[in-house]
Amino acid sequence: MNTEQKLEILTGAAKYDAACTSSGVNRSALPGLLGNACSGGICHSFSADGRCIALLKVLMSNDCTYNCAYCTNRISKDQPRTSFEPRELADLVIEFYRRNYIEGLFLSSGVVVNPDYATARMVAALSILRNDYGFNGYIHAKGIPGTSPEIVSQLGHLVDRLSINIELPSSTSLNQLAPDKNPSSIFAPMSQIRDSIGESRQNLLEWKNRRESRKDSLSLSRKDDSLALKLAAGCSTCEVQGTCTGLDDCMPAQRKLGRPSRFAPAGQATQMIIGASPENDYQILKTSANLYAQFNMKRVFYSAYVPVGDNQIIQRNSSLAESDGSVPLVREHRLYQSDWLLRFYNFSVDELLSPEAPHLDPLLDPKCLWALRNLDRFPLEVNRASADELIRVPGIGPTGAQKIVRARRSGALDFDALAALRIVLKRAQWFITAKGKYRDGLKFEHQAIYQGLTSDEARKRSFREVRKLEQASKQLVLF
Amino acid sequence: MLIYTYDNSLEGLLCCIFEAYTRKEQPDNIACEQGLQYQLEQVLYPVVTTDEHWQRVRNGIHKKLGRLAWQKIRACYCATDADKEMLIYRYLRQGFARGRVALDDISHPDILPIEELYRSVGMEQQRMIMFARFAKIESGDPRGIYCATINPKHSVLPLVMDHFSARFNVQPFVVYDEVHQLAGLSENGQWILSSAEDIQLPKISSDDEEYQNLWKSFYDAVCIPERINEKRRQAFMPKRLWKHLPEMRP
Repeated sequence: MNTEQKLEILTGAAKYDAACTSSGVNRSALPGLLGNACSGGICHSFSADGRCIALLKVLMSNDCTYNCAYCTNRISKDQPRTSFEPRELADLVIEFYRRNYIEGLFLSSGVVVNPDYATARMVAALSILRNDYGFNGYIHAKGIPGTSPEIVSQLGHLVDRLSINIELPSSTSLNQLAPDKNPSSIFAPMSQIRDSIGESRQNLLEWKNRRESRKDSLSLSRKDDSLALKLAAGCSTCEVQGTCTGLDDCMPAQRKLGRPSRFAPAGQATQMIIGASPENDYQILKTSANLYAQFNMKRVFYSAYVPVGDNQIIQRNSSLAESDGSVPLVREHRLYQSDWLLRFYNFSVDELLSPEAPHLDPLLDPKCLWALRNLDRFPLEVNRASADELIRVPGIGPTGAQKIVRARRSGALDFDALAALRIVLKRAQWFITAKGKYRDGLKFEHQAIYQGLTSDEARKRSFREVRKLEQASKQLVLF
Repeated sequence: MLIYTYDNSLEGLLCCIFEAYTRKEQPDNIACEQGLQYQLEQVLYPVVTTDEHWQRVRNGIHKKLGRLAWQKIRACYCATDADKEMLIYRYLRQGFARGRVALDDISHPDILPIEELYRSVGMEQQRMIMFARFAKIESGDPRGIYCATINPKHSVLPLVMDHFSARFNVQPFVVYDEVHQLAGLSENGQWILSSAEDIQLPKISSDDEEYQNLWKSFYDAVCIPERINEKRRQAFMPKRLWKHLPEMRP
């Protein structure tokens, strides 16, 4: 099989993974090394489904021995199986990167033979990239549950972001749909990654302090400093000998500066498949909140389930699904919106949903939903409200709140001024007053607001009955 | 009607601002020397670009208005809008008169246009960083020489060269702006800008096509066909940019 055929198969096998961000770490370019990383992330293309393409998203191999019901690569599915050779993949990454096609690599793998073997193959490819080719761009790798800690550690020192997929929002569902994985094999590496990231931050901090104090006492310039460090014993493969500790666990960029090698500097992420199991939105968000709190996750990704081949277990379990078994994208979208509210707007899950009202509204974004339930807090006078209050107004986010606070220093704002600031008045107008006045022609009343906010959405889609089965599903929780 | 003319450089424009302050007058327009059609009621005042003058204005912006303001002006100067000179002039007048707080007054008629323009130029700059596609050209250089052709709305080439030069410091390359006839040349992390009228682009090397095809294969394979969303794709990746994207070739 040639590289092109492999690429097609191993891309097709990886495409259902939602994460494709290249964000979270700033690593400046260094002379002699290819690439850098920008913390904001850069997309390089958009596929026909409208999703961004930032990284070369492929599997190392789709030759998986597991049989997870929701997965397109499960062993019971009849399809061609193939694997990249480590160097073949590394070459592909370099050539694509040089042409500005990609920001880096997103590497995952089916469980070939066993978790250790499969992960070691990924480590081999990444080691060629980092150590042989001096690749300084972004790498995101997926760890496989059940991999031994030593190999996870090697992997973590080669990549910018490392993630273990939680796959499903509860352990009951996990047992049912992914019989080869179990919660402890997922949480063990997650904890390891969290601890290693913390340790590596600490080491870097200490190194920086040491360097500062040495500079003070010896008044060494930065250049002399790195010369001094070169004398320290380093690993044999390093171009410039630094303080790195082993063959596979240092990035070339860090080596050049003599810094301690870092473990997944862009942090840890995970992914949950939505709608392949019966959990409601409240349970899903509770799980997310726990993941953020317990493992310092940078991101939890949600992937609306796409039926991959006929599978009876899945069909039976999907209560909120479309007729073909797939999950409406709007559900994934509403979960992402709520996720943002948790992380950047200081909302808690219990403010948004409750066990009694456990679902997000397909017609209304979660912030509007919350505002409608808390009408006693509104309308808010934009010229007086604090930034914390402003970010809770639908249509105003952290950026908008900042702009309002800055702009109102030069004089009170009216609705025209707010429009000039690009505040989304379509939503915000219902919840604010400007210069003491509510917007002309609007009525501050629950029914009117609900209709005003949903009319656009309702026009966009014929509102099917999405909430078919709301069986009081048992509290299926992981934590 | 008083019109300042300048040499079509950012330095020249800053000198116009210097003149307006020292001569205590308000020009009605600031225009480029070349291609100016003289009309009867116009009084022309040609401004000579002087290093000392523009440096004083730049330092003034840095000190009084901050780095971000300088960055905005630098970016807005790259815009193709015909009246960008007067927009920048009025923005700076406001800033110098009222200090930083004036620049925060984003809904003010002298401030808002620059904010909008900055957003528009910034978007274009970002798009070029995202969508510039390099191809290897035929050369004897063992590192390989790469070339990208771009067609930006605004003349953002000077704003993207820092990024590419740092990232691709191991490969010499050219970025050619076919709309504004400019080329940026980079080697070892250093770059220069050169005007590029009627240039002949070098030949693409034969093995580059192989990678273009591989890239297209990846692009087609990564799409989830059940979720085709043409509107969304075009919102993020405007059609006018497709002609230089290997993945969008039929």
